[in-house]
This record gives sequence, structure tokens and C-alpha cells, in this order.
Amino acid sequence: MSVAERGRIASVARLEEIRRELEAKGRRYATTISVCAGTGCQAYGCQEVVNAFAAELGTRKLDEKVLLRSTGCHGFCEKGPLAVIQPGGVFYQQIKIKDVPDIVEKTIIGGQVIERLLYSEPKTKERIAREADVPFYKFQERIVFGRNGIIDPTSIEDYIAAGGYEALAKAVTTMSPEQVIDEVTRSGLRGRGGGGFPTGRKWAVTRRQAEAVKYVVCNADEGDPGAYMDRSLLEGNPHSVLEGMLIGAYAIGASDAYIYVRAEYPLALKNVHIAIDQANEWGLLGDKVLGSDLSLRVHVSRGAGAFVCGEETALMASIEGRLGTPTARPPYPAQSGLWGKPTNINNVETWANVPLVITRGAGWFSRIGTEKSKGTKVFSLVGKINNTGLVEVPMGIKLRDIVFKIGGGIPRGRAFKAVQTGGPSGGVIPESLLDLPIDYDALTEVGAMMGSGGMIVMDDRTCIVDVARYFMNFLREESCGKCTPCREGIKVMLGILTRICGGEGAVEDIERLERLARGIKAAALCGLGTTAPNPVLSTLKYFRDEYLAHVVDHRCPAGVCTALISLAIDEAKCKACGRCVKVCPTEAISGGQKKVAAKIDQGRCVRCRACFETCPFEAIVIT
Amino acid sequence: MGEEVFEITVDGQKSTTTAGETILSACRRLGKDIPTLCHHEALKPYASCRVCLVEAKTERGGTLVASCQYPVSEGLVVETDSPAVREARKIVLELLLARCPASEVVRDLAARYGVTSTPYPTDDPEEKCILCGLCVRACEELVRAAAVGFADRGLERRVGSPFEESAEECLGCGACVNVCPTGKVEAKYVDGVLRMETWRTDLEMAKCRRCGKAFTTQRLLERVAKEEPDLAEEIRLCPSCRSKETIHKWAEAIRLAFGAGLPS
Repeated sequence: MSVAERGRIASVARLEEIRRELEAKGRRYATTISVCAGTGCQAYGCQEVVNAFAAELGTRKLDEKVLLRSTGCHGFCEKGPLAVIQPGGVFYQQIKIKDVPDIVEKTIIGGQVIERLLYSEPKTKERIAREADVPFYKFQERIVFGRNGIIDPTSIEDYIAAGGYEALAKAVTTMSPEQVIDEVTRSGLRGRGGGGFPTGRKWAVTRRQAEAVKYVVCNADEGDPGAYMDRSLLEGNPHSVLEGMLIGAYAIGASDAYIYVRAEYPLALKNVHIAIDQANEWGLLGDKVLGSDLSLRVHVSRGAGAFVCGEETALMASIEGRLGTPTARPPYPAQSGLWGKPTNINNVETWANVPLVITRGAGWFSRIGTEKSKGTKVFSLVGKINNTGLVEVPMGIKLRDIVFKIGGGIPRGRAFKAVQTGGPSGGVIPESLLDLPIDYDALTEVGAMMGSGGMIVMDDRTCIVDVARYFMNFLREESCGKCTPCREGIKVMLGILTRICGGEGAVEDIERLERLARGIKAAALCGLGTTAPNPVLSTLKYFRDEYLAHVVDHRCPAGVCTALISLAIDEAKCKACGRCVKVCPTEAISGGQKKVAAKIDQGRCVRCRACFETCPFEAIVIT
Repeated sequence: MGEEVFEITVDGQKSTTTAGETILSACRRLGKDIPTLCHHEALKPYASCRVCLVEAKTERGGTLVASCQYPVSEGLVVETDSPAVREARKIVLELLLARCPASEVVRDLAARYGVTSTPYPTDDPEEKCILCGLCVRACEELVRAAAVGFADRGLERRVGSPFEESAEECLGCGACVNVCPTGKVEAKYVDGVLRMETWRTDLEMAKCRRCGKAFTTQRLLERVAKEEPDLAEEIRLCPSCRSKETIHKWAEAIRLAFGAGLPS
């Protein structure tokens, strides 16, 4: 039935009727192939894999029996392109176009599992057939992110068939706005954008304001280096975010909503626009949603990629068309936000949690997590980790479990050094704290923060001073420049860190750095400024020795800072394969062939470490 | 409806304030010495320079807040000169001094906090601009011309005319020159035109229709004439001719009312 025939859904009963129709339609297919089509897998060429499946199914006249679905991100970005075949839940990874006929022939028709396409456990080399048994997925709790893998984000039918808009229906027909707020408050849901403010309380404050016009805003200006949780949610399940916003608007009393998405997220923007158009056509947005008194218009505002625009006051200024710089609070957005009206801002993941809280209840939700941090958190697990990807874990999980059970440990058997959480505003967590249960308060207590969920893993070849310098450089480029401490202070901190990495640091520099970092933390205007020194403070807290090694011994223990290292070849280990000779950009390496060990001319060596990275025998020694 | 009254404590001294008042305003009424650079009574709070930081204490502990912007609330406890406040101001002033060693205002204020030199490097020894934005804000909020603004961001942030070319909306009113605390924004007369140095804008002068003296800018006259058409003729007189003409008009009126016998 086309949308024109169906018309706007004017009641909850009609929504349920349509859901039953869609479920029945889904049951007509014997098999479903869900191919991940998130941005990561698209980069691997998943679209060609989808096309190949479509062609193969067409040739074999299987398109009536087999449903081929391009879904949002499944999270296991390391192994794309990937597909899950239902029923059975067989998980194939790193699929190439040439594998497609085989999959159709053997698995779809023959019901066999193709060994070579299965995930292999790095340590045991054991092949695992089912998605649910793969350790990367097994130890997760994918309540928010899970539906990404079973729906086509451009299809509102898929979302509805999977129980979508059920929470909205429940809220507008059986609950008063106060009851909705009460449910969200009791669930213990806290803001997933970093601050961790209790969501229900924020809603209640916004609702309480006397103004007639109120707004709800979705902050999708995810900007931390290495973080892409919100992007994948918006790309993979945009209707869940819309549904959360609808429920929020109902509870707060808003009739206009804004989604602020960065323009560098083209797929997220596209899928959000498609979802809004569909929801409008279907009567799930616009006037009298599902025949209730709720009316909501959703507008999309594109951000131009300024990190600072993720700060809520700067974000609102940007939506209004003004310069994206923060303003001091109070007043808080809940009191005076967009165009001076009470405004409730939550981030993508927070909104996506709301339908779950309403459908399954505060009691169910609050059973997941720790005393003060309820539910799950999506992290982007990146850096020196075997299983790069997006993981959703219950609050309170140990960092060790994320890194080693889900993440599969550190590549090439290297040693774990630290993990950076919360992006440039967060901090590093050393190995001694690996058993820390991850929640908002625990992370803040150790000097890191939850942030929006970036998690960068570092191994023993990562220089901690260099990491601090990297983040300071990022912040130097992203500071808006409005307040003195952030603008001027970050510049100075970067200068000091650069000097230390360059071998020109002194012990006084460390003291100066620490004093300045404390000063900026206390004196800066906005949340970004006050957290900007965190990478410096937390690395100083846990890795002071490494700073001292740089300034006292003029040594970079991790062998990263080029000014402080020298490279040599261990002749006993050198197999004279010549690889180092080839990669050296300055022709500093001689020998390395005809069984003669290679030798580095120190005068010519620029310490770029290319030979070190290339040598398969660990014959290059950094001192 | 009466205004809401709050009791606050400043440096141990109890005082009453009204809702909507800022900590700065309440403290200044009590004679407290709180320095400011980006603050101006006629403009909205901006809270960017951070020299007016004070400690606001609640049951959850103390935080530093910009007194120029932070509103008072019932039971608020404020420390204007605690060690934390002094240390934060000192760091801010060291940073400002590193940025603007050429600014006398910054040097004097820093000296008051014992900062006579800065541990941080200076990029431009001639720099005077502290990026308080008073020029930009006065032009937008008071003059409603928005002729100048901020360009770039972060360290490259600076004030300037659009595209750093002649500012088409600049009236040459001089409000920016007036509010600039460091003397960075400059204007001068060159060959009969008003040159707004900082904005790369030359403004043609208007001549008094009576004495012929150049007394304001052509654009400023046009703007006033547009907004106040009734005054279109009067404003084309320089201030001195305007008072002469006014006196003359009044004298004429009195003569008409009382007849001859009055001195002309």
C-alpha cells in the first residue's frame, strides 16, 4: 500500500493495525540478509556487495523469498563489509564481491556455513559462526544500538515493524506529560553527551517555565576525535531519535524541534531528512500526531564543523544564525534558550534511549547499570585495539572487559598503556585503573570523563606527552577564542608541550604547565574551556615520570618524540631483507642485502621511524 | 508587584539585592574593588576577559564565576578576594600581559596584582587588543550598525571590518573608539576625512549649512535624518550654529509674543 493510499495515521489503533500488516509482510520472507551500510562499511565498498547480492538473488529468482536489507552500522567496523543472515544469525565478515555467489549458493540455498568468512578469534584462531557468539558482540548489551542491525534506516516500515513509535503511542494516549517526565526521572537516565545531567530533571525545569513557546533540540554535533556513536545512530536508526524527541516535546510542551547535525555527516543528514519526511507523511510528525493534541515540526540545522558548537549555548547561537561562541550560564537553556525561549537540549544517544524507557518502563531501565548511572553507554573503541568499532555496554562494566573481552586486546601482542575517554575534554586512564567500573562519577573521580563516549586505546609505543600535545593542538584549533584563559592559555600549554616533545623542556615547564592548567580549569567561560586542561592534568597525574624522562633525561620512553630518539639496527636480529632500505626516505640505511646486516647513518637519519614500522623482525631498536 | 529581594553575603558582610542584579553590581554598591575589562554598563554582559572572577559559594563548594554576568540568588555567598580569586586573576592577567604588552590598562591592572612580567611568550609586542569585543558590541547593541565584527576564531580571532575592507555600515560615530579600554581602536582626521584606522574606513565629512565647518560624517547625518525626518534640517547645523539658531528662534518667538521693546 502506498503512502498516498494509506494517508496519515490518525490513531494508535491504526498504527497497530499497520504494524501487524508489516509484520505479516516480513514473515513472507524465508531468509533475511542484513548488510551493514554504515559509513565505515561504505568505505570498504559494502554498496558493491549489496548490489552483487541483489543481482545474484535476481538471477536465481530468489527475490521473493530472500529479503536483502542495507542496514545502519552494526558496530564491528574493523571487519567490514559484514552481513548477518537470519534465521540462524550467521555472521560473515570482510565479504568481497566474489564471495556473494558462494553465500547465496551455500548458505542461503544450502544452509551451510562458509568457514572462511567467519570471524576468527585472534588468540585461539577458532572460527565463530553466530553473531551472538562473537566476543565483540557477546559481552555487549545493545539496547539502543541493536536495532541498527535489523532495520533499513531509510524505511519507516522497518522501524514500525520492529516496534517503532510504540513508545510514542503509549505516551500520548496513556500518559500525561508529567507522568512521562516522572518515568524518565525514575529511570535514572542521564545526558549521554558528556555532562551526565539527569534527563528527567532537565525536562521538568523546561516544562515548568512560564513561557508558552518552548523548543527541544537534538545535539548531533559530535566532534571528539575518534568518536562516531551519534553519527552511527542517526545514520542507522534516525526514527528512534525522532521518536525520543516527539516524546520529549510532548512532555515539555514544545511544538518545534531542531536537530543540529554537522555537515561533515552527509549520510546522517540524508537519513535524518528522509526520516523526517516519512514521519510527516505518515502522521507521526506535524499536526495532531497519531490524532493526539501533540503537534511537532522538526527542523534540521547544519553545523559547519566547529567543535565548540557542540557546547549547548554556542549550538543555539549557531542555530539562530549568530557566531558560534558560548555564553556564560545562568540563564540555562531550560530557562532561556533558543530565541530566549525555554529550550531542552539532549544529545542523539539520550533521545534514542527515551523510547526504551517509555516502552519498557523505568523499572526495567534502572536495573541496568550502577547506582547513579543507569542504562547503557555506546563507546567508540578506537586506537591500538584489535576490534575497532562501536560498542554498547551496561554502565558499570569494567574498562578491562571493554578493552580485552570486547575489544580483543592490543594488536601485535603489545602492552596496554592507557585509554583516553571523553575526547579532548577527557583524560587518560592508566593500567592500574583497568578494573574501574565505568560510570559518570567513577570516570570524573579519576580525572577523566564519560564525555560523549570516545575511547582511544594506547599501547606502550604511545608517548603520553605526545598525546597531551595532540589534544592541546586540537583544542588550539577549536577554541572559539572568546575568553582569555582558553584562547591564550591553550596556546601557552601547547607551546610548552611542543618544547618538551622537542627535547627543549625543563622541569620548571612541568610546574608551569600544571599551574596554568589548573588556572584555565577554574577560570574559563564554558564547559569546553574548563575541561580543556584535562588531557594535561590527567597525563601529569598518572604519567609524570614520562614527562620527567623527557625533560630530565632527554629521553622519550615510548620512542615517539623524534628529537629525543635515535634508531639503530640490532645486527643479530637483522635478516638483511632490505625492507628498511626501501622505505628510508633519506637513504640513511646501507647494507641490508646479500646477508649483510643493515646499518643506519645517524647523520642522515631523520628519525621518521619508517624502518621501525616496517621491520618484521623487530631488528630496529629505538633508544 | 514588588521586586524580589535576596539576601547575599559578600566577603562575610550581609547585604540585600534585587533579583536580576549581577554580583558585580551588588559588590560595587558595597564598595568592593572588582576589576573589569570587557564590562560596560550600557552593554549586555559578555564575561570574556575573566578578570572580574569571584568565588560563588553554594553548599556544593565554591566555583569561580564572572561577576559581571552571574546573577545574584537567595543566600549566595561571594568571596571577592580569596586566594582562589587572586590566583585566577593573576593567571588571566599574566596571559593578557603576554598577549598585549603594549596596553597600559593591562599593565596597570596586572601591576595591582603583583604581575610586572609574564612567564609566557609574546607574539606581537605592539598588540593592544584584548578581544573584549566592546567595539563590536557597542556597534551592534547601541549604534545598531553592526559595521564591524569578529573574524576567525581561537588564536586568530580578531576584530575587524567585513573582509577587512572598508566597512560600508560604519557611520564614523566613534562609539568604538570611546569604549575601547586599551586604545586599540583609533580614529583621526586626515585631509578632511575621518579615518577609522582599525576598520580601514574613510568617512566623508558633512559641512554645516550655516558656517560651512566640517562637523560630523555624512553617513551619520543620513542615518539620523532617516530615523528622525523631523530633525533633518536641524541636524545639518554644527553644534555651535545649532545653539545660535535655537537662541535666535527663541528670541524671535519672544519678540513676537511681547512685541517691540526687547533687545534684538
